[in-house]
Amino acid sequence: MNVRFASLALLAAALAVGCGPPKVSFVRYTTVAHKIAQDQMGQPEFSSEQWRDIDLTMAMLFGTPDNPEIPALEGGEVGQMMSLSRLKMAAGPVGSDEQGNPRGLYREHCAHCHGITGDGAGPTAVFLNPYPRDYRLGLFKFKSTPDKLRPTHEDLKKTVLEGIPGTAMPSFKLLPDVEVEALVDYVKYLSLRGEVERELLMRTSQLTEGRLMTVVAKAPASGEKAAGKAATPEEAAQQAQLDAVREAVKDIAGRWKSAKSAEVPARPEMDEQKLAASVARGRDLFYGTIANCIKCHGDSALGDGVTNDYEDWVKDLYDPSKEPKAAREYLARGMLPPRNARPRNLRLGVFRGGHRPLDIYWRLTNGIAGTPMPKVLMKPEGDPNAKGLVPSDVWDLVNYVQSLAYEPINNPLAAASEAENLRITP
Amino acid sequence: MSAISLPAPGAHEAHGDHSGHTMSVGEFVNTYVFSRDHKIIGLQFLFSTLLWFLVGGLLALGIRWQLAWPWSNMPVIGRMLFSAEGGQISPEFYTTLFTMHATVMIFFVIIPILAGAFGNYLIPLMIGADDMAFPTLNMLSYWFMWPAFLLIGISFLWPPYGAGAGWTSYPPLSAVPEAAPGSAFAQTLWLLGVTCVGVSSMLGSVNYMTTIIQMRAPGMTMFRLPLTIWAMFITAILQAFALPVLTAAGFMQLMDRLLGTGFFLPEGLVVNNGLAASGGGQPLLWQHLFWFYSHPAVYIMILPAMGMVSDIISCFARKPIFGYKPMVYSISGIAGLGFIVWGHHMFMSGMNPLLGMTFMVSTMMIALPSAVKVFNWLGTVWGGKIQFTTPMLFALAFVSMFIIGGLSGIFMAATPVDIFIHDTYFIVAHFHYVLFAGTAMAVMGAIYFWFPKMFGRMMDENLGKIHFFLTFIFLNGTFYTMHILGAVGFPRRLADPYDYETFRHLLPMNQFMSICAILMVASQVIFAYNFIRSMFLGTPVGRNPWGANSLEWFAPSPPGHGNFDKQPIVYRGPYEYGSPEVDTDNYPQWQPPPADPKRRYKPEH
Amino acid sequence: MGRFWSILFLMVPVFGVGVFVWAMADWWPMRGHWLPENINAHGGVIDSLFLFILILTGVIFVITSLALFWFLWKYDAAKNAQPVTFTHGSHTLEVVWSILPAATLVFIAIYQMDAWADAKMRRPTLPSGELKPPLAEITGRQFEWRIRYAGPDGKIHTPDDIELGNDLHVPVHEEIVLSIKSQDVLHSFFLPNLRVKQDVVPGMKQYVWFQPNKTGVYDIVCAELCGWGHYKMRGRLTVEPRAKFEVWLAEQAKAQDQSEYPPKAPGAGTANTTAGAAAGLQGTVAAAP
Repeated sequence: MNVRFASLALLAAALAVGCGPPKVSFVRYTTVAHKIAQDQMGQPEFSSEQWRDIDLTMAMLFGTPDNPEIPALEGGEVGQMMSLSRLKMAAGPVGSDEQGNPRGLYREHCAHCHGITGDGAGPTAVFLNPYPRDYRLGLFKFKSTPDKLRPTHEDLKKTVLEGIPGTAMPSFKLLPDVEVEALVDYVKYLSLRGEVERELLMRTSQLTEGRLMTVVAKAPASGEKAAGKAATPEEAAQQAQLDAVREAVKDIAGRWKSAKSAEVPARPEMDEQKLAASVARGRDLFYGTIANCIKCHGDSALGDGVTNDYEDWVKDLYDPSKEPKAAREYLARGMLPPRNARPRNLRLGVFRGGHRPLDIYWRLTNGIAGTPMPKVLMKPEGDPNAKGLVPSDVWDLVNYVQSLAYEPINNPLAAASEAENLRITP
Repeated sequence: MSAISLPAPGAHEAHGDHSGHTMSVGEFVNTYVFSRDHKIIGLQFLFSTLLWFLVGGLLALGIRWQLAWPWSNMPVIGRMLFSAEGGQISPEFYTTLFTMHATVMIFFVIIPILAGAFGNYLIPLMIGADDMAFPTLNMLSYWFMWPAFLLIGISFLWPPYGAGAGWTSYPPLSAVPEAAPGSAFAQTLWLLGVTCVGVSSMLGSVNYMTTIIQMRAPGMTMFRLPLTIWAMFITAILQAFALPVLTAAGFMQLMDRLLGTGFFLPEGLVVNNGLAASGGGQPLLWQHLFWFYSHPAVYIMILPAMGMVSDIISCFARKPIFGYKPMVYSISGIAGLGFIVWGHHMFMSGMNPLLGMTFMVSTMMIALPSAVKVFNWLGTVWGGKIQFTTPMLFALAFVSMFIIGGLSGIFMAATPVDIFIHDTYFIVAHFHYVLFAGTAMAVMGAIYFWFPKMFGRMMDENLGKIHFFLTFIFLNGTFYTMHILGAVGFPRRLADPYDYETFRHLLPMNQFMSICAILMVASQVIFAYNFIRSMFLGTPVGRNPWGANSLEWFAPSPPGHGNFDKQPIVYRGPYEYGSPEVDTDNYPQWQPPPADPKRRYKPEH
Repeated sequence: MGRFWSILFLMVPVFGVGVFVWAMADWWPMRGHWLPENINAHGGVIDSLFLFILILTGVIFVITSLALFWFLWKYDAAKNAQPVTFTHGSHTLEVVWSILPAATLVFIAIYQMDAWADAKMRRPTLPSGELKPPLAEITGRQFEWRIRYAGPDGKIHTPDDIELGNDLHVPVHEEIVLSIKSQDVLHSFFLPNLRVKQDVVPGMKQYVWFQPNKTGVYDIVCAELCGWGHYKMRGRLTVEPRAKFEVWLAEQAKAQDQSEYPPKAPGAGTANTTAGAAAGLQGTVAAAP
C-alpha cells in the first residue's frame, strides 16, 4: 500500500461521496411548454435559447429554491400576498439559521409529495391516490371563493392545518403557527411562480421576432450610468419587455388579492320534524333537474355516475376523450399517469374539504375548481321566474348529503360488521 | 451406525493443484461453479454472504444517517437517487432502507453464512465423511440463492428502490399493492426472493440431517460430536419444520396480492382509495404464520454460532467444555421451546390477551437453557490456560455480549413491560446484541479459526486483534445506548422521530450512535483486507495450527476432494484438552489411546 | 496482552451499569434519557416491573461479567503456570444453575399476570356493573388519528358526533375508555406517558383504558409500520379538568356546526341545533323512498 495508491483511493472515495449536496433547482414547466409550443409555434419544443431566457427571467423574479425572491412590483402586490422572511423559513435545505429560526420547512414537510417546484410530482406522488396538488395551475379544490378564483389565505391555511381527510394530505395542526404561515406563503409563492412561468411561455411563443430579453445584459460600467447615458434601442426594448412582464405578474397576483370568500347565510334552525322535511326536499333536489347531482354521483350517491371524466390538470394539456394517445408525449415530459376523476361516494361520510355545513355549502355553490364538479345554478336576484336554487334549497341539499352517511341501508349487517376482540371481564 | 465407504484415500488431487492440466470451460464450470464438493459450496456461500454483509451494512448506515442528520443530504444515495431534492431522501425510501437492511442481513447473511457456509464446510470434515450425503442437492441449495439475489437485486432498481413493508411484511400494508410505495412490485419480488431462500435452506437442512446421522466416521458416536455439529444438526431440524410454514404464508400473501384472494384482508378493505379487497381474512393470521417460522429462525441464527463458540473456547482454554451433555440438551431445549414462543412477537397485536399469559410463561422458560449455556462457557474458561488469540477474543465477546442480549430479552418476555417497549429501540437493542454482537462476532471468530483449514494459510493475528478491538468498542457504542432510547419509548421505523415532544431531545445521542456505526463499518475494511491478503500471502500452515482436537484438523489444509487422506477413526470426544493421558495439551479425536493401560485416564462420570 | 483483554471485558459491566445509572440519575449528557413521565394510575405497575427486572438482570449481568473477567485474568496462559483443571463438568452445579433460574423465571412470569390482566383484560365498569362506554372512538388511518366523540345524544356514530383529527382531549382523574380501530392497514395506538399501547387492526374493534391523574399535553405515537407516513402520525393528547373538557367539547361541536360566513358573534342558540335534530332522525331517514 503505497502513498499514491492511498491518495487515489481517497480521491475516488471523495468523488463517490460527492463534494457537498447536489444543487437544487426548480423544474421547468415542460408539459405546458410542449402544449404551447405545439399550439402557438407548431413545433414540439421551445428552443434552448428560449428556455434560457425564461429561466433567467424566472430566477430574477423568484430566486431559487434555496434563496427565494419576491418579484418587485411598484404596487407591492406580491409583497402583500407573502412575506420574504416567512418564505426564507420555508425555503432551503432542512435545518436552522444562525438565529435558530427553522429553515427548509417546505422540504421537510411538503416537497416529497408536492415537489420542489410545487408540481405535485415529488418522489412519493406517483404512489398516492389522489395525486398531490400541482400548484402551478393556480387551482385549488377546497376553498371559500367561487368558481376558479384563487383561494384566500385562510382557505389554504385551513387545508394545511386540518389536512384533507380521505387523502394522503396530513394535518399540520401540531406545528407552531409561524411555521404553518410560512408554508402557506410558500405555497402561494410556488403557485404564483407557476402561473408566471406559463405566462412567460405564452409570451415567448408569441414573439414574432427577437427574444424575451427581460434581464439586463450586463451591469453598466461605473461612470456610464452616472453620466445619464440614454438607453440604446435594445435596452429600451428590454425594459419594455420587463415592464410588460411585471404587469403580467401584477395581474396574476391581483387575482389572489381580489379573491374573496363567498358569503353564506346561516342554516335555518330545525327541529326533528323540520329536518326530516328538509332532508326529503334535499333528496328531491338531488335527483332533480336543476342540481342533477345523480348524473355524476350516481343513482345511489355512490359516485358511480360519470366515471370517465378527468380533472383540469389533464384537460389543460390535452383532451383525453379526443386524443388519448397524446398522453404519451406528456408522460415523457413529467406528467403523472392520468386517472379518471371519480365523483365522491357521498355515503362514506368523508368530506375532503371539511364536514362543516358551511364547507358543504361552499362546495355546492362554488363548485370544486379544477374538477368536473360545477357550482349549482342559483336563481339570480330579482328574477323570480328564472331557473335556479335559493339558499334554503341549498341547505336542504346540504342536510340531505349529510344524512347520507347515516342511512342504515349503508350497512345492512351493522351488528355483525365488526368482530369485537373478546375481553375477559369480571 | 451404517458402514461408510470412502474413495481410495489420496485418489484426488488437493484442491487447486492441477499442475500441467489446463481445464476446459466445462470442467471449470463443473469444478468451481456448479461444484458438488461441500467445501467449494461452503466457500461460495461464504463469499456471497460476506458481499451481502457489506450491502446490509451500508443500508444500515443509511438508516443511521437519517436518524442522526434527518432530511440532510445522504452521502452517495442522495446524489444518485434524490438529486432533485438536494439529496434529501423521501420518507418511503426510509421504509425501504430498514426493510431491506433486515431482509438482507437475516436471509442473505446470517442464515446462509451459518448453515450454508460453515455448515457445509465443517459438517463432513468434523464427522469424518468425504462429502455430504447428497452432493447434487447441496449444489442446488447454493444455486437456489441466486434467484433470490437477482430478484431482490432487481427490486433495488426503481423507486422506491426496494420492498418497504418491513422484513416482517405485515398485511394489509404488504398485501395491498396500493397501501405503500414499497408494497408494489418490489414486494412481490421480495416474497419470491424469500421463497427461494427458504427452498435453499430446506434443501440444505435435509442434507445436513442425513449426513450427520448416516455418515459419521467409525467411533464417532452422537455424543462424541463437536457441539458445532450438534448445533448444525438441531438447526437443520428447526429449518425443516419451520420453513414450510413461512413458504406457505408467503404464497398466501402472493395470492392475496396477485390473485384477489383474501387470506389476510378483511372484507371491503379500501387502502389509499384503491379497489376494495374481496376479504374475509384476518391480518393476524399472517403474523401467526410468519412468527411460527421466524421465531425458530432466530434460533437458527444463533445455535450454530453457539456451537462454534463452544469449540473455539474449549480449544483456547485448553480445557474440556464444561458440561458437554447439558450443552447438548440446552441446544435441544432452545430448539424445542423455540416452537412454542412465537406469540411473544404478537403481545400487542390484538390477539386474545389470554395468549399473552401463556406465551409469557414459555418465553420466560426459554431463557433457562441459554443461561445454562452461559454458565457452562464460564465453567470452561475457569481453571483453563487461556490463549488470547483472535478467534478466542471473538468467542469470548460472544459470551459477554450474549449475556446482555439474552438478559434484555427478559424485559420483552414480561408482557406488561412489553406494552411499553414493544416496537421501540429496546427491541432493536436486544436483537442487535444477539445477532450482531453475538452471532456476527462468533462468525468472525469462526472465520479466523477455520481460515487456515480453508485456505492453508493463517490470517494476520495483529490485524485480527485490531479488527476485534475496534469492532467491539464501536458496536457497543452503537447498540448499547439503544436500550436507553427504548426506555424513553423511542419508536422503531420512524423516519423523523424528532417531531415528537417526547423524543426531540434524543438527537445528540442518535448522532453519537451513528458516528460509532460509521466507524464500526469502516473497521471492517481491516477485516476485508486481512481476509483477501491472507488468502494469497498469509503464512502457510499445516494441518493443525491451533492444536485442536476435532476431525477437520486431521485433514490437509486445505483438504482435497474426499477430505481425508487416511480413514479417520474416532477414539474420544472432541474436548479432551489438558488430558492427563498424554503429554501434549491437546488430545485429538483421531489419535489412538496410549498402548500402556496404566496411562489411560478414567473420567469421574 | 491477556491482561489488556481482561480489562476490556471488565469494561463491559462497568460501562454497562454506568450508562444505566447515568441515565436513571438524569445526569448530563443523558438528561431526560429515561422512562418518560407516567400519568396513568395503572401505569405505575409497568414501571415497577421494568425496574424490578432491570435490577434482577443487572445483578446477574454484573455477576456473570465479573466472573468472566476474573477467569480471564486469573487463567491467562501467559501468567498462569498451573496445569488446567481437567474436568468435564459438575452434575451438582448443572442442577443448581438450572433449578434456580427456572424457579426465578416462572416466578417472574406468574407475578406479572395480574398487571397484564389489568391492562388488557379488565375493562372498567360503571357502578351498575355494565361495561363503561368509550369516551371517544379513535380510528387510525394513513396517516392520522381520526377522533370521534359522541355528540349531545351520547352515542357515537350518529350525525351529531364531533369529529377531529389528531387532537384528543380527556378529563383528568377519571377512568377513560377509548374504542380503537383502523380504517386501512395496521397501526398502533401508543401513549408513551400513559404506558398504553395497542395495535389497531382493520376489521377488529378493541378498547384501551387508563386513568390520567395529571393535566398536560402529551404525544400520541403510531407504533406499527403503516407506510411512508408512519412517522407523521403524531397526535396530541390533552388531559384537562372535566369542566374545561366540557367547554372544549362544546366549542368543537359548535365549530363543526358552523354554517354562516362571515360568522356572527357567539350567542346564537345551540340547544336546538339542526345537528342535534339530525341525530334523532336516523330511523326516519331510511324510510324515504
